Amino acid sequence: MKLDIKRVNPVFTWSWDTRDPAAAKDRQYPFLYNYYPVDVEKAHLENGNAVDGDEDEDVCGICRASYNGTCPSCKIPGDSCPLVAGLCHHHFHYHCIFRWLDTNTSKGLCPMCRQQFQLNSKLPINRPYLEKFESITKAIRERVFLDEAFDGNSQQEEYGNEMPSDSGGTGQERRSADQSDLEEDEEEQEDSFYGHLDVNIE
Amino acid sequence: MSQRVLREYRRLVAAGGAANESNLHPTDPADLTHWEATLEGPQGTPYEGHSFPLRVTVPDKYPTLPPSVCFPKRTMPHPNVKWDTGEVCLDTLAGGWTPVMDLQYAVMAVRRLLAEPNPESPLNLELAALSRLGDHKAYDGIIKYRLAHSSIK
Amino acid sequence: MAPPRSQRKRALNCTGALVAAVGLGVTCWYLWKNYTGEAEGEQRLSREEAAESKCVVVTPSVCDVQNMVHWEMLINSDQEDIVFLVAPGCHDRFSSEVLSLVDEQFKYKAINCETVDGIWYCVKSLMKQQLYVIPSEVSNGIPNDIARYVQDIGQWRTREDILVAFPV
Repeated sequence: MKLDIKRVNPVFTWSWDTRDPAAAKDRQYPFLYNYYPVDVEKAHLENGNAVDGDEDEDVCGICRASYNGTCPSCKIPGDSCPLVAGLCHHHFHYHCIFRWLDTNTSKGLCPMCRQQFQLNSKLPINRPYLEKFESITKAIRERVFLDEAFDGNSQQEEYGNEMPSDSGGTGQERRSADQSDLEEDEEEQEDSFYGHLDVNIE
Repeated sequence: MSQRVLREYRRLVAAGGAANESNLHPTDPADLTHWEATLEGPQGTPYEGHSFPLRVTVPDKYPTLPPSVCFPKRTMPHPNVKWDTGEVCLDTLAGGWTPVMDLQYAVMAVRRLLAEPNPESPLNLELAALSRLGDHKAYDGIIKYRLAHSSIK
Repeated sequence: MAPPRSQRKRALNCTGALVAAVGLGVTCWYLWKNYTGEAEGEQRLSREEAAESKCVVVTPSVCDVQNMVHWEMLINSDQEDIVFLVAPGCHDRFSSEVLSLVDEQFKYKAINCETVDGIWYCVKSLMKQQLYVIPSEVSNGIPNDIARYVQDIGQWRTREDILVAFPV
């Protein structure tokens, strides 16, 4: 039987490669090293953002959008809204995790497992951002250290005072301090944070 | 409107009532800033048999910032709830918050708080003192009195 | 002939002082009238209309007068805003002699306290207007700061004092 091919409509898709090359070599099928099987439905883009995946590991834990989609601040997926992978094996959109790490409350911890969040330097996906990550987290750590040292001296609260029950308590003051810390961090650092990337954030 | 809160809303709607014990829902689906839920008093606590409305407010910078959760004033006698305002003191909603938590997690955390008060971080000093003192009869009695007295009035 | 200027000035000063004195007097009278409520058409609030909320610390003497006062009648009443804080050692007696006569829906008005400190924390939490207690029957007496949480403390010394506060 002879076939004449009239037209070819190739369909391509892509997905972030979060595999560790060193680990891949130990796999049973090393010839699949450069092949990343893609679930086309899960990678389907809708209005620049992916539909929620059914499995948590396929979505950014912070914005709940697919890894292959964008964070809520971006429109175009790919290198302008990259994915980063932590040593703790938790992945997030670059913007999402840094927005979180940029708050005093985060204390530099992974929001999933509360270990210190470090990029896995062995993964190719992280390589473009290792240096930036180091400098940003160093600045964040210094700021957190200074803020905590300052707060520790200025906030000396007295506990155990007997007051009528409608006059509030120390828990309220502590919670208000945390909340205002978070809000102040966000306002002050947003410009400098997004300045590290040449991205228009809306 | 935060895209993240929109995703949560879609997921809640898709999951249906069985997965949403507390009936968490937005007050106005067109504006996902204000939500409501109903907490059932945990069994084995003086809150058993009572239902408590809960109000949740989503800040602009959610989920980096935690949602605000409060009871209507003078409805919840609890060591970590301010009686006159309904404000809740819970670490999960303050320093312990991470952006991977969601509104349902926050509501469930408040429900757990009913059964497991934290007398070390009180907003109702007398109830917290009774809890620390170990005077369980008085603790239960005050809560039941408040719940019965407020429902009558 | 017109009076000299100094005399006119003196007359004006006297008139001004008189007017000021009268005004001050009227103001004082008005304030006193509001405070006492004795002006025409007003009357002091009756005991029922004031609806004083009460907190009674139940100790052995309070249980002793049950046959005369009938505490369960106060507890069973919708009109009475009263709560009983039962001291350690009186739970069983108060329950069998009083609460057994109380409707289930009102039993929340009796709170058993396992500790004396618990009694005072309850008083502070409830913030009723009137507190009744026999200090000699409560170890360590009344804490100094209780007055911040209640408007009036009725300190009973004898059973007769109880009957005066709660007439048969």
